[in-house]
Amino acid sequence: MHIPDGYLGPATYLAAYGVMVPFWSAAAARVKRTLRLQKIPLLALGAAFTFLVMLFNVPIPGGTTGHAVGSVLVAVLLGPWAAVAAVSVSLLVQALLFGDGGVTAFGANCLTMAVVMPFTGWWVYRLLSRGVAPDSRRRALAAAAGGYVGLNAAALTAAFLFGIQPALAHDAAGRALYCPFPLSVAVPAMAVEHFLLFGFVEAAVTGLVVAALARSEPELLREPEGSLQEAASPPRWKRWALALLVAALLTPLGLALPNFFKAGDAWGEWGAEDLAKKAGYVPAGLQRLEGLWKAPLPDYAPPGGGEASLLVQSLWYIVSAVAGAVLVGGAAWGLRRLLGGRESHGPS
Amino acid sequence: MDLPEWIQPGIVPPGRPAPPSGAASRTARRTLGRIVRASALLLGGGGTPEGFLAGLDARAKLLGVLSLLVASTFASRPESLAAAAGAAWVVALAGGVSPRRLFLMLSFVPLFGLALALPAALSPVTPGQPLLVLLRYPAGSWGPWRWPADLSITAGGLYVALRLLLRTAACLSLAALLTASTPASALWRALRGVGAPAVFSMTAGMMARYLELLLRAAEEVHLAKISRGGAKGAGFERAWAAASLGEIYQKTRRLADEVTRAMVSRGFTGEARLLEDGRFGAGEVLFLLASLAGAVALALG
Repeated sequence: MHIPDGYLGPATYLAAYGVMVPFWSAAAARVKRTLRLQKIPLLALGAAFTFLVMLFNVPIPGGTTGHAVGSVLVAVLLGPWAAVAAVSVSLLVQALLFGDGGVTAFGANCLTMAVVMPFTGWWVYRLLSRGVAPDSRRRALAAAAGGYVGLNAAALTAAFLFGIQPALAHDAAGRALYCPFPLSVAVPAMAVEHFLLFGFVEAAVTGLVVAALARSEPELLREPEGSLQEAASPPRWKRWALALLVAALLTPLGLALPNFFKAGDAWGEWGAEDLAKKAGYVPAGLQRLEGLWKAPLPDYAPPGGGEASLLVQSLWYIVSAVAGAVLVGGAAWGLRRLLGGRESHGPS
Repeated sequence: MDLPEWIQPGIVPPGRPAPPSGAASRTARRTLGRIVRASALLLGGGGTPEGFLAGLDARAKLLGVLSLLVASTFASRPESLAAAAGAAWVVALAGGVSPRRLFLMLSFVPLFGLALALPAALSPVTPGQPLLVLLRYPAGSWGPWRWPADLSITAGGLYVALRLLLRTAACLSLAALLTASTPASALWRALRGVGAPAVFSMTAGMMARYLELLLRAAEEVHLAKISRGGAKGAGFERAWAAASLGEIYQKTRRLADEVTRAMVSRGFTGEARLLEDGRFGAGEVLFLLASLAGAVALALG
């Protein structure tokens, strides 16, 4: 799962650093606000523990061994924001001191293993263990499910980062400059080994450690007052904003997947030009009305439309998604203010 | 730090019973081997760095090496990448880095790199002029997947694989140059010095100390296991590994609480003075300028 140096081009690893900066800032701010720096030892413990988890070999079928990543385990024990900080530090130590994972790819590795994995796994764990006693068996099963889902989500993210490289960067002869495996190779390769093998290793380690702790010291699984667990429940509007941001960042999938599957336009969404090709003529009414409104961002594309590279088109997709969300959200907020006045500004 | 002789496979000291064998025991040995190697690297297995590189301010080395690392991801010619890797080795060895430490840090690169890069040389990944046909079968396609009429090593594929390997080797050699010539504690201070949040540099510094304790605890449980038990099956091994991790977590959690109380009682308020007085002399400036010049040449070359 650790992406080495040289496999991601500058466009990808710089973008990954760009995505990680707000997460690192938020994690640092939350640590300051909720744990205060006096509790740094707890984070250091989480980082060291993650590192150690990766050293523990676990037997898997076929006579070989694998190791877990441990991000979901740290998220379960210390909270997802603590996991962002702890796993990032652990990955930094691995990259710098042990050459495990690249220095330029550090942001991308943090994105997969310190953000996608702990948050996805922790949400699954929370969903399945809500209202369950700390020493309940269900809690260990929820942690195992969280470990499995979290690892697979991280693996798919890494596969996506690998798979877009041939499309993003190649030389004049069309040969890939970085990872040469396209999405059609990277995604199945990563998915199969993680769905069928490493996901179960992660699930076993996460679930069994939580079960062992539930038996011997269930208090460790209770969310302590003032911990980063508590801090992981931001106000509702922040959660919505985060969800929207994640959704906006995923919108380029709408470009990549049709390209990947060689799909055409959605049925019934043809422009006059496409319709002329398909039906042989353009209805007069459609021709008259088509030019009625000139959209500021037609087809969510940059000026020049489909001629731009996939990366540029993806960026415009994200810009369009953010702009759209802000406009719709602003309009809804304005409407609410107009109709409902300024009451109820308490915590929701 | 090496594995105790009696635990190494095939070595049975006189007067001692043979160590337990079997898959489960091999797993414990393998894990112990990883733990011992990690401890050796973390605790300065190759000795304290010496030479002119070790004498340079860590911030200058960090910035210089980072610029070269970024430049090597922009370089596209295999010759430039090979030159970068070679130069990193020459500078490291001339600068006083122990060859053993350098080798220890880069030993897994050829195997790992080849495993990842070699499939790129095959025709389904990089189509082109076949150099060696490995297999022939009917061409076809299924959804987005298409396969040619043969599985062969192509000229373009070899070029892609070579470039990928050399890029990885250059990046790893540069990173090794930095970390083999700089103590970990100085590296964390340097990170703080170039703007990393205090939380991360302090956590990294403390993590290294915890890790030492955790590794010792893990080593003890593995040694105890190998010395006491034979093979008991994969299910038992999994449960044992998880229980050990749980036990180690509890131990160190208690330790973390004690450390916190000790730090607070000594007046720690969350503000750490990590960086000593800057020592940015002519040597540091020269190193930075040389690194930047090298980075520009590499990126453009």
